[in-house]
Amino acid sequence: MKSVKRTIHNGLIASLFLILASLTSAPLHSDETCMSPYMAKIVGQEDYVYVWTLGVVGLGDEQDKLVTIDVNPSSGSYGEIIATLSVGGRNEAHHSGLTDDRHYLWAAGLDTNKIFIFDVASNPAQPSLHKVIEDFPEATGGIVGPHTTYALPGRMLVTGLSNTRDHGGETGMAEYTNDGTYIETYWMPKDGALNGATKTGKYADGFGYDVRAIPHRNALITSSFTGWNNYMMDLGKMMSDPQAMQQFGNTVIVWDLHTRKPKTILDVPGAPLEVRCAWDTARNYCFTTTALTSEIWLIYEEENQWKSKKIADIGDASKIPLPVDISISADDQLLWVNTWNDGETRLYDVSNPHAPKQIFNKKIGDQVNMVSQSWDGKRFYYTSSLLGNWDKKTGSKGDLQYFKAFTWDGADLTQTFSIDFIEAKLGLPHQMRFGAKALYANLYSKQDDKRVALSR
Amino acid sequence: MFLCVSHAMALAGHGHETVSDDVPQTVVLAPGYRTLSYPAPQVGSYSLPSISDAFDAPYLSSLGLEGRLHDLMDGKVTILSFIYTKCEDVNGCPLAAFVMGQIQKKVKQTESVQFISYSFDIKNDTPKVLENYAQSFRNEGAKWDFLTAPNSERLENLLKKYNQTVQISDGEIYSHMLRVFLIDSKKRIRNIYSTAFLHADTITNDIETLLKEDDTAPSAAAVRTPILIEKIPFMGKNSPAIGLPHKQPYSSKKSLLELEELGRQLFFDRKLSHNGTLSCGMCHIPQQGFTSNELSTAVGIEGRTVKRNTPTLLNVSYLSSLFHDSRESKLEQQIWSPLLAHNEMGNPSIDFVVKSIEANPSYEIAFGKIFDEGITMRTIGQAFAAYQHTLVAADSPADRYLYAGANDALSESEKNGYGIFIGKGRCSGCHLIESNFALFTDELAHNTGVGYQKAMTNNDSFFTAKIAPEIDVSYDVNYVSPSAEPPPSDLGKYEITEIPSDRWKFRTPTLRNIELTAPYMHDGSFQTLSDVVRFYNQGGFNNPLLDSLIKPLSLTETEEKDLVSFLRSLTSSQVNRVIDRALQEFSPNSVSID
Repeated sequence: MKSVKRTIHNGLIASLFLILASLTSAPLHSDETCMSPYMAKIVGQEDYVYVWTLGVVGLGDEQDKLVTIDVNPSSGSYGEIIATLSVGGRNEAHHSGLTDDRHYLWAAGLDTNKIFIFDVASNPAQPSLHKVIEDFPEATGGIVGPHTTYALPGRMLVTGLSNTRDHGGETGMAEYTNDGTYIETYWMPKDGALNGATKTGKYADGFGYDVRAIPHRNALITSSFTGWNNYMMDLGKMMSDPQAMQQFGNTVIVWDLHTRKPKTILDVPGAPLEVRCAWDTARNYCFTTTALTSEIWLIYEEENQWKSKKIADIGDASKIPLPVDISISADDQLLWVNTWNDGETRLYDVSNPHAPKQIFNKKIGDQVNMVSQSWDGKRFYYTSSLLGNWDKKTGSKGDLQYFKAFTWDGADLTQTFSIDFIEAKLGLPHQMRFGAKALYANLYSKQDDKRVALSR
Repeated sequence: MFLCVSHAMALAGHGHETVSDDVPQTVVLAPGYRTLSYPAPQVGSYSLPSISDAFDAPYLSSLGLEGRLHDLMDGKVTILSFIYTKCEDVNGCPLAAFVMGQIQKKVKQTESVQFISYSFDIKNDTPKVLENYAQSFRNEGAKWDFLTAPNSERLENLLKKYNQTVQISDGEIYSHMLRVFLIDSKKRIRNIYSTAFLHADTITNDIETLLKEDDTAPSAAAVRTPILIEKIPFMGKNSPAIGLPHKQPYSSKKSLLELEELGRQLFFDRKLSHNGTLSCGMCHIPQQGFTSNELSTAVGIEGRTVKRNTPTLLNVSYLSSLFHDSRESKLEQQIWSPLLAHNEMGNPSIDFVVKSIEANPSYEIAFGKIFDEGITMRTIGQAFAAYQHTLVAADSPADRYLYAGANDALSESEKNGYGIFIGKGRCSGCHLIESNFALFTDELAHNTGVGYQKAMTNNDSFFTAKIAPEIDVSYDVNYVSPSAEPPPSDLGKYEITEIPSDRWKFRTPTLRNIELTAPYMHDGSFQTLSDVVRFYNQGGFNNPLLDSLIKPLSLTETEEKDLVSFLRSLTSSQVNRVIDRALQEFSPNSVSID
C-alpha cells in the first residue's frame, strides 16, 4: 500500500491528492469547497483557475470566453493568462461546473441558454470546446436560464432561472448525461402544482437558482432568484420598477435526492441565492444568503423536519449590499460572504450555525462577486462580475473587473497577484473552477497494455 | 475519481489540515457498509428515466467463455460494475462487490436479475484469477458473472463508453472512478451509483421498481413533461364579437387560415430575434393580456432597455394608430419596427430575418403555398398581421349591456361607473363609445402629464423598493446609480413629428380587457386601475401642454370605485379562446394546411 501510495506522490505534482469527499464522515478540505460531493477533489496545489467570462460590447473581441490562469507558484507562468477560448456571442456567461470525473467543464449562458461543454482533461492548460447544447429550452420543455451545473454520479443537474412562456421566474431543473444528452426535467413546485411537496409557509413560487446535494440525508436543496426579465435588465431600471421587484423568489425547496421529487417548500423571503451545505455527515444543514434582504439563513433538519430561519444580517439592507457568492470552509467552521455592491468579503464564524458572528472583512475591489478557496483554506480567488447589466458600468473609474489571488493566514488576506480584465481586453470575469494537471496524468489507453505485453 | 489505494489519506479524521504519509489515518467506511441513514424510497413510488443505452462489447468470462454484453443483458435487470481484483481499497471495488452481494441476498425475483463485475485489468485478471475472486463474493441467488475484455482495443472503447476513468502508473492501475450501473431488461442505463450513493437498500428498491414497470417504460425523450406549455385543442374561428364594428375579412384569400397559422408560428418563434431569445410573444404574453404584467417597461434583447410599456395586442386589428407614439398605421408594416430595433429583437437587417425564416423548411413550404413570391419583407409582414388580426376579444358584460340589451349584464356599481365614464368622469371624451360599437379609444395622442412629470421634474434621491413580499426599504439612489444607465427620455409623439406641441403626447389606449393588462400608462407607472382613476380625478399632472380635456373631476371615493368596477366589466368572454389558440402546440404540419 504504502509503496504504491508513494508512487502516486512521486508521480504527481507536489502534494496533489485526489479524493472523493462524500466517502467520509470526516470534514474534508476541498478546493472549491462548495462543489458537488460527488466530484473528485484537488487537495493540494491547484495548477489552473478557469474563469468563465462575459463579453462586453466595445472591449476586445466582445464575446464570452473561458480564460485559463496559471495559479501554481512553482510554474514559470504563475499569475499569467495562459489560454483564452472565445465561444461566439454574448450569452450572459455566468456559472460553470465540472462533471464528477472532472473531464468536462459545463459553462452556461443565462441569456441564450447555450451550455458550453469544455474538455479540460485532454489538455488542462488549454481547454477545448467539446460540445455546445443549443436546444436547452426546447429539450427541457421550456426552461430558460441554465444556471448551476452540478455533478451527480455520471450526470449533470442543471438548474434554470426562467421559462419560455413569459421570461418570469417559474422554472425547473434538468438532468443530462456527462457528455450532454438530455435525460429529464423536474419543475419547481408552485401553488397549484405542488407536485407532492408540502408548503410549510406562505410561499410556493416555483422559482429556481442554485442546487446542492446532501447525500447522507438523501436531500437536494434548491434556492430561488428571479426570471430573465429581471436578471437581464439594467439594475437601476429594475430597482425603480415596482412590478419587477415583485418577481423575486422567496423559497428554498428540499427534494428527495434519489427520486428527484420535491418534498418540503420553505419560506426564505428576499431571493435566496447560493446554497452551501456542511460537509460533516453529522451536520444536516446548509447556509444561504438573500440577495435583497441581505440576510444569512439556515436550512436545517430537526427531528426529521426540514426548517428555515434567519440567523444573521449582512450589513445594512438599505445600502443594497447585495450578498452574492458564499464559501464554506472544509471544516464547516467558517463562512465567507461577499457583498457585491461594497466590494467586501466578510468572514463569519459559523461554529454555532444558529448564531454566526462576523469576525473579519476586507474590501476586495469596487465590486466583488465570486470567491473560491483551496481545499486547505489557504488560497482564495476572487472575481468581480455579477451580471452584464447589473455590474457597475465599465466606463466608470475604479477597480471594477478583475481576477485576484490571495493567501489567508488565519488573520488576514494578502494579495499575491491580480489581473485587470478590462485592461487585458477580456470582459467581465465570473465563475472560477480549479484544474490540476495530475488529475489527468497517465490516463489508461490501450497503449498501456501493449507496453505491458511487450515487456512480458 | 476514486483512488483505490487512497483510503488512508482520503478518509482523514477531523482536524488534519493536510494529509500525508506521516499523519495517522483512520478509515471511515462508505455508507454502503452501514445502515442506510434515511428510509429508502418506496418501490414503485418513483420513476427512473432512461439515461442512455448500455454499450455493447465483447467479453471473456471467468470460465474462459467469450460472448457479448448485450446477449447477457437482454431480458434481465443488470447491476454492472467495473473492477480490478488487485484493488485493495475497502471503499472501492470491495465495496461494490459487498453491496452487490447484499443485493443478491435481498432481491426476490432472482431469475429476473443478474450481476456483472467487469475487470479492466486485463494484464492480471485472467479468467482463472477472476474465478477465484468470484468465489469469495457469490451468494446463493441471482446469477453473477465475472468478466474481462478479450483485448486492450476493446477495453479502451468500453471504458470510454461507460465513462470509466482509469489511471496507470508503471503499468499498474492506481486510480479509477467507482461507478456501478443499473441496466434494465431493454439494455438501457437507468441509474448510476458512485461510492456515496452505493447502498443495497436503495439499489434493491430501484431494481424492484424497474421490475414493476410495464413494457412502456419511459425513454429519455418520452418522459419530458412540459407543464409550462399546455396542450389545448384548436378552437377554430368564432363569430364576430358583440361590441366591435363590422369589419371586412382581412384577406379574401382562400388560404387565410393557413396565413393566420403561419403568422402565429412566426409570432411565437424565438429564433426570429438576433440571438434566438425573444419572440413577439415573450413581451406580448397571451396569458398576461398580450402584454407583460411583470414589467413596467419592456426588456429587449441582451436585456436592453425599452422605454415603454408593452401595449396589448387584443383588438389591435381595429386600430390604425399603432405604437404609443402612433408611428405606424398598418400591422403589415408595423412588425419590422420591433424585429429590427436594436433594443427589441435586435436583428441586424431585413435580409437576416428573411434568411432566418428561410432556414426553417416548414416556413419555406408554407410561404410557398400561400404566396407566389415566397418569403419576402412584404409577405412576412402579411403573415404577422394575419395572426394579429385574429386577436379579437369583445363580448364583455359592458358590451352585452350596451349593445345586446342585457340590462342585468352589469351590477349596479358597474352601471354607476358607466354613468361616470360618460359623464362626470369625462373618460369617453377620449375613450370613445359609439352608438353600435366601442373601441374605447379616439386613436389620438394626448398629453396627460405622465410623460412631462418624468422628464421635467427632479428625480427623488431616495427610492422605495420591495425587497421581500412584506418588506419595503427606502434607499439612497447613489447606492445603485453606478450600475444604472441614465433613464431614457421619452417625448412621445414629438419623437415622430418633431412638432413642439406634440411633446409628451401618447396615443389613447383601448380600455377593452384593461383589467388584464396592468401596469398602466405608456411607461407602466401605475400598477392598478385605482391608481389611474385617482390620477385623472386629480386632473392629471399639470403642465403647459396638458390636454384641455383633462381637468380635476371631484369624484368621490365611491365614484372612483364604481368607475373601476365599470372598467373591469370590459373584460371579454372571448379572451380565453384567443389565449387557447395562442398556446396550441405547433405541429410540423401546422403551417401547411391543405
